[in-house]
Amino acid sequence: MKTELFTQIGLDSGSLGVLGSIVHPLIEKGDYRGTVIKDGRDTSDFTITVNENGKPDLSIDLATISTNQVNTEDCCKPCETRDQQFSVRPGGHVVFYASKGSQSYAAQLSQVNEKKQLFNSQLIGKDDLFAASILRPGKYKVTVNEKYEVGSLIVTYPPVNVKKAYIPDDPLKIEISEKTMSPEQAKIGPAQGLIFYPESDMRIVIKLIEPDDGGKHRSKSQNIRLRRYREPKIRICNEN
Amino acid sequence: MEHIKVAVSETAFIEFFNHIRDNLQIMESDSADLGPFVAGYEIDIRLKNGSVDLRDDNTVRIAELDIDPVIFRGFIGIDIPELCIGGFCIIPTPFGCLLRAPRLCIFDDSPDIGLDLDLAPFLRSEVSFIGGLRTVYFTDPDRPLGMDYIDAQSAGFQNKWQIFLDPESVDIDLFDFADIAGDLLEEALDTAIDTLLGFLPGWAKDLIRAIFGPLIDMVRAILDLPDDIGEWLSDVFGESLGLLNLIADSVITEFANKNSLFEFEDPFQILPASGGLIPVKVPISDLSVRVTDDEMIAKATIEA
Amino acid sequence: MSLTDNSNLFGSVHEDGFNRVINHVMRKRPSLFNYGTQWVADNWKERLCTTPEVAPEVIRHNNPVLTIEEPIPILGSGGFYALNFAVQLVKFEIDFYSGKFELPKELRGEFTKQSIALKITACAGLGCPSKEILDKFPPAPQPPIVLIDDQRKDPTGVTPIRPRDPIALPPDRLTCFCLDLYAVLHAEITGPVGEEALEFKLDGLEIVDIRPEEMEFNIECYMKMLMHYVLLPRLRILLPVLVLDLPENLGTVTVKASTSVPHNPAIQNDQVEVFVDMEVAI
Repeated sequence: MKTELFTQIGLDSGSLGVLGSIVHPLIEKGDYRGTVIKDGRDTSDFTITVNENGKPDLSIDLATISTNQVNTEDCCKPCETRDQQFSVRPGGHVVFYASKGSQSYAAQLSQVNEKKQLFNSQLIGKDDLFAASILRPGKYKVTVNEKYEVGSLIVTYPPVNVKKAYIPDDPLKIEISEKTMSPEQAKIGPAQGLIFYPESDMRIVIKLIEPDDGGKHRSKSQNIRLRRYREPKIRICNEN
Repeated sequence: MEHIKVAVSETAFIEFFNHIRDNLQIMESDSADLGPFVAGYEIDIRLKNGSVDLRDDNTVRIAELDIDPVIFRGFIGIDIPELCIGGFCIIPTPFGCLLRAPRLCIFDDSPDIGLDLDLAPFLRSEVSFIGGLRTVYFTDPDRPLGMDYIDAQSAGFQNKWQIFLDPESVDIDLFDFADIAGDLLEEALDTAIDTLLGFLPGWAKDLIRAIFGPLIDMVRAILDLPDDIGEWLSDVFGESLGLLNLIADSVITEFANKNSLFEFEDPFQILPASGGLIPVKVPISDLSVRVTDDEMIAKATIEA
Repeated sequence: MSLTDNSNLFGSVHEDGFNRVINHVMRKRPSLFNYGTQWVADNWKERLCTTPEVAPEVIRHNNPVLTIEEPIPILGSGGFYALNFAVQLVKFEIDFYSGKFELPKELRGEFTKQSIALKITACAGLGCPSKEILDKFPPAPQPPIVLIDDQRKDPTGVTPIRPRDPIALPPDRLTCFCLDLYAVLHAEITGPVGEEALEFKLDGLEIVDIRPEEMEFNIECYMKMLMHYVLLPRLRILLPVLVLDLPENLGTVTVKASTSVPHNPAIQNDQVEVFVDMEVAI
C-alpha cells in the first residue's frame, strides 16, 4: 500500500513527491541527456531522443529510474551503467513524476555533448506546467520562489455518510506569476487536480497552514436493516 | 409362506427414527473461487426435531427436520480493488485529452480482507423427505471365506438382515439466515476495513471511504450483494458452495446406506451358548417390510 | 384393526415356523433330547435306539450328542452291577389351538383355547447283557443257606468285598421300544420386567395306550417329570427374540409384556402372538 500518498503533505514543484508532476515540452529534434536528482543528489542519467519516430508524449518515473541503475560508488567491482533511453516526437510533452517513495526528485535536461542546461525542473518556465493532487484537507498557502505568498487553497473534507461515491471535480487551472495567482483563493475537493500555468520561471510551493481533521463531519457506522429471506422450496433427488 | 411377523407401531417407529436422527452427523469443509471473492465453510451439523408419519402407500414421511449446526463457519475473502488518484487531463483539446497526469494507485498489492463468520446461531434450515423401506442382506466383506456362523458370531462377522429408510428425494424447505447475520457481515467488514486502514489518519480513511462510496456499497459492488444480505449468504453457501446439495446428499447417504433403521443377525439366535454348548440359531429368509398408516410390518420365513 | 393397537411391538410365529425352530433345536442341542450311559455315548451312531440328525457344527465344536447319565443299578446287587440304557425324544411336533392332532380322549378336556398340543415320539432301550457276559461277571459272593440248628458251623464264613463303582454290564446292543405320547401345554410370560421370557407349562401328558394302565401311568409320570424339570425350562425364549431383537438396535430399551390384552401370549390363528411394550431410557 502506498502510504506516501497520505504522508506527503503539501507540494513543491522543485522537489517532486508522489502527488506532483512537471510537464515540459520538447520542441527541437535531437538527443537529450537527463539527470535525476534525488534528495538533492545526482543519482542517475537517462536519454531522450526527439525525432519523428518518438511517442506523442512521454512519462518518466524519476523514482524508478533512480533505482534501476546501478550506482557505481556502491559496486565492489566494475559495474555496467545502463542509461534509460526514451524517445518522443518533436513538440511532444515529457511528464516528470515520482510513482513511489517519500524522497524528493527533480530532473535536468541538456543536449548531448552540450554543457548548457536546457531544462531544470527545480525552476519551471512559462512553457511548463505543474500538475498536482492534494489529499489532506485543510488550508494551504501558495508561495513562489520561496518569497512571495501569492494565494491560498482550501481543500475540503471528504464527504461522509453518503450513498454515492465521491468523484473529484475536474482539475482547477491556476494562472500564477511571481506575485499573483488567479484565482487567488481556490477551494477544491480532496484529490481534485490542480494545474499551475507559470508566467515566468518559478518554483511553486504549497504548504499546509491549517489542517482540517473533520470534527463533526467524521463518518459514523452505518446501520442498515436487512430483510428476512426465505429460500423457495428446493428438491434434490436421490439419483441412486 | 411367512412364519414370522413383527409389527412396529408408529410410536415405536418414531423411537427408532429418533435414534438414527440423534446419531447422524455431517462434517464437511469446502471453498471455492467465486470470481471477485472466495468463500468457504466448515460445518458440523446435526438433525433435530422433525415429525414422522407412516403412510398407507408404503412410505414414510419425515417433515420439518431441523438442521442444527454445531459448527457453521463461513469464510469470505475479498480483494480490495485498486484505489487510484491522478490521471486527470492536463492538456485537453476539442478532440480529447492530449496529456494526462500520472495515475497512482493505493492498493496495488491487492490485499485480501478475510471475514470469519460464525453463522451457526443464525442458520435456519429445514429438511423433509419421503422414503420407502428397503431390506438388505449384509455380509461383512472382511469375513473369511468358509467361516461358520458360530465363529463369525464370536469374531463379529455375523451376516445381518437390515432395514433402511430410503429417501426418494430430499426437500430443503428452508435455508436462510436471520436478519442479524447481515449485521454480522457488515460489522465484520467494518472491522476488517478498519484493520486494513488502521494505521492511516482519520481523514485518509474517510477519503478512501468517500471514494469507494459507503462501505457496504463497496462490498456490495465486489460481492454483488443485494439489499438482503441474508439472501446473499444463502445463495453463496447454499448454492454456489453447494451446501444444499451436500446436506441433501448426506441425509440420503446417512439414512439409505449408513444407518439402518432396524437390523438383526442371520442366522437368528433362539438359545444362547451355555456351558460350552453352541448357540441355537435359525436361518431367516425372505424378509419383507411394508408400511401402513399405523405400523411397519416385517415378515420372514424360517428355513428348514 | 392393526397388529399394534395394544402394544408398541407385536411378534408372532406360525406353528409351521415353530416346528422348524424345534427341529433346529433338536439338531443343534441334541443333548437336550438324548440321554444315555457312557457306553452308549462312546458309539452313539450305532448304539442309540434311533440315530439322531445332528448338525455338523455340534461335532465340529465338540458338543455332546447325548447327556450322559449313570447306568441303572441292578437292585440288590450290592451296587456292583448296573445296566446301560438310553432314552430319546426323537420327534416333536407342535399344533396350536384349534389344532389338527387326534388327541387321546384323556387330553381333550385339557386342550382349550390358548392351548398348545405336542406330539412326541419317545424311544428307550435297555442294554441286556448276554449269557457270556453273565458268566464273565459273576454275582457278588453271598453266604450259603444253612440250617439254623446246626451249631457246629459258623453261619458266616464269606470274606466281605470292598465297595466299588458299579460295573455297567456291556450288552451287544440296546433293546429298544418307542412310544407315541401327546402333551398339552400353555404359554406364559414369566420373569422380572426387562428379562421376561416366553415359557411353556405342561397341562397334561398321555402315552398312547399301553398296558397295564398303572405301568402307563408310571411311565407317563416319569415323562412328565422329564418335561417339567428338564426339557421345558431349557426352552425359555426371551421376549426380544420374538420381535427379532429389534429393540436392541436402540441400546437402552426396556422391553416388557403388554398388559393391555386379555392373553399375552395369545395362541390363535395357528400362531403364538406376543405383545410387547418398549420403554426407551432417556
